[in-house]
Amino acid sequence: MSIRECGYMNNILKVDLTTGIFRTEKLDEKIIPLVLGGKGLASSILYKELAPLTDAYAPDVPLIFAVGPLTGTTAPTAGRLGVFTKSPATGTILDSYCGGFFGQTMKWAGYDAIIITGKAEKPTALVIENDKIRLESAEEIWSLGTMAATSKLKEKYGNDFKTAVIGQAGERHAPIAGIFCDLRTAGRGGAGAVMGSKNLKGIAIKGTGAVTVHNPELFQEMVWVANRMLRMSSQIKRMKDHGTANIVELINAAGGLPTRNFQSGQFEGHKELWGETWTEDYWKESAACFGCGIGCTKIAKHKKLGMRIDGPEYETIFAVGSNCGVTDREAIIEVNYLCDDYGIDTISVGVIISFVMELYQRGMIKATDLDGIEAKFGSSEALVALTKKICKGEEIGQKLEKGVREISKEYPGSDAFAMQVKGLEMPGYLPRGAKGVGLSYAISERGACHLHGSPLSELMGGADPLATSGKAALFKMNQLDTAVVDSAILCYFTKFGFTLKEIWQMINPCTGFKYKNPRELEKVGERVTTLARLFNVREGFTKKDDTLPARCLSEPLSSGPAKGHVIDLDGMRTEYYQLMGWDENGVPKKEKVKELQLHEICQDVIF
Amino acid sequence: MMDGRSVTEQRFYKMKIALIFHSSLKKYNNDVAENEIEIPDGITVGELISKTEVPKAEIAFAAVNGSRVPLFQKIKDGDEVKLFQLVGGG
Repeated sequence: MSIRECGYMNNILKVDLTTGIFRTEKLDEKIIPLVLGGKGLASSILYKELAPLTDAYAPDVPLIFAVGPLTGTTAPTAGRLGVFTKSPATGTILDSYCGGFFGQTMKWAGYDAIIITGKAEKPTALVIENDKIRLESAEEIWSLGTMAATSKLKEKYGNDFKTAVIGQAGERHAPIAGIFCDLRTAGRGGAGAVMGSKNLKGIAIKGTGAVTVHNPELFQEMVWVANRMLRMSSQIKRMKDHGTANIVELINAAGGLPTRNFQSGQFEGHKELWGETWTEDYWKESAACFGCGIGCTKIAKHKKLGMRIDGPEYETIFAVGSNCGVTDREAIIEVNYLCDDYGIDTISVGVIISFVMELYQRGMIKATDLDGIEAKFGSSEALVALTKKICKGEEIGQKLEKGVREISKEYPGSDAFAMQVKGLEMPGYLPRGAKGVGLSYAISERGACHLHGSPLSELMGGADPLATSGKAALFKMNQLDTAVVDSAILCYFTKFGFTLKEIWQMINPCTGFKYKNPRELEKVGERVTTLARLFNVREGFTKKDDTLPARCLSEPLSSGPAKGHVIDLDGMRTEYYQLMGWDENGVPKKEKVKELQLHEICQDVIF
Repeated sequence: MMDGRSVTEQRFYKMKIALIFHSSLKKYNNDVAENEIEIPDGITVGELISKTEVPKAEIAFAAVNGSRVPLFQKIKDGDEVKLFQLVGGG
């Protein structure tokens, strides 16, 4: 049976924006069972096709939109999309994901991956209608925000087209720019800036095909089981009722809610930020991505200005709320809206502003350095004003949009509290409040990332948050499972309802691959994780980069359940390297590369 | 939850605390989210949990006055004890 009838479209679209030439390639059927799809497929393409040490904005750098075997099927959350490239923020491999409706549309249009290289001469839109592909001028939508650009594309091509666009931040290559797919965002690491560097304003895509699976009867049965597990989960119900921010109260009680630039893990104004509080005052409508029974999306409307947003999500609420000391929810909605429209990652914006606020608190920066903005913690006026500067890239915003690592270079000693890893601003769990979170931020391949570890389960007491023992194994397990989820592709939130076992039960009848048990599928996760690591090693990343800001390592917390704690990273990191079969410098050993059958992709490592 | 205690037991019930059941955990307390209750001196959080109907597997952790505490922590008069359910999100 062809792979075409087993969860794949057996088709990769390659678009060269420099020459305007399109071509399609079949999937490598030897490689696919090893990497599954999504992150695995894209990582193998990036490893093979991108020369080491290429500048992230060079035309040669592939910008890859990829889906997995479960995308576009009836599996829960099967509309998810992955975007992969080299991060201009970190210089590492970048994977960034979003829900919405682009993923399954791309699959139904006939593609497992779309690889975009080159640079268009003028602002361009890529228009795909099944196998009809064309490049069109996007000059009329260049310099528009994501919302107007999305509307214009839909007006021009029809509402049945799904879109992926960048805002003004991506156009000017701000390394905090994301890609916006009908208001769901592949936000982290600057994929939007890579898209902007190619003069690609947007993609409009329509797909009318379907995905065929290997064993439809068994697959449907396993999908039914997975959906039932989601329905039965009280954790999923919390998300349905009060969005992703339903966790604010618990995270605060656990001492893990980053507050005032990660100075502490508990915020006195946390009740204003609870999911329940948002539900009561703002969230009167809900929405869901394609194929999703969770439906965690909440829609808020600014009471004075009338703007509507999807969210705010937990990560935005921590970043521009507690981490800036702000409880003003109207300001949080406004900031969320501005970031969405200009096409910027809200996590990075919040952490940049909180860093500026701490510089201000310490007297290292003054209002006169900030175009007159009094950047006090807790000031919603300062929050909104600084956000506008960053969104527009004007005046002080030009400097701030580069991220906290770059900003800190101008203020000696401030790198100790520039809350980033490898150049990516930290997400919403306080590392000192849960030691495994610190390990996962230090190691994750795209920089400080909350998705590869298990911050929530650790903070909920799945493991003693303040212990270091066992955290390397816990991180490894979650990281490998996540790599499978990202290659399948499903939403992370399914993990609150089902496990790798249920994914395995769907993958086999979908693909016809014969993974003997969930652990064998986990091996795919190990392979994909190691492949991403090899990409980073080739770019020069080693143990020296797997670290945390001094605040995490040597500044004891002054309050909360983790009072007095810092992170002893060395022991956890060494143990993690050993568990992964990497050497003491964090480089995968050749025998591990061979054991994982990665020599087909990474020939330079072994041969 | 603490009905039916003996006269001897009642002599030791000297502290008043608020016991709060987070979210769906209230189903184990007749759908009541918060009770003011009397408990014996010296009782720990873990001992208090064992006196409720809530299955331990459904509890993420207990917090006293807004902060997570270990199960062996002793409760004081006037404390607010909250039992958190497992959550998903982020």
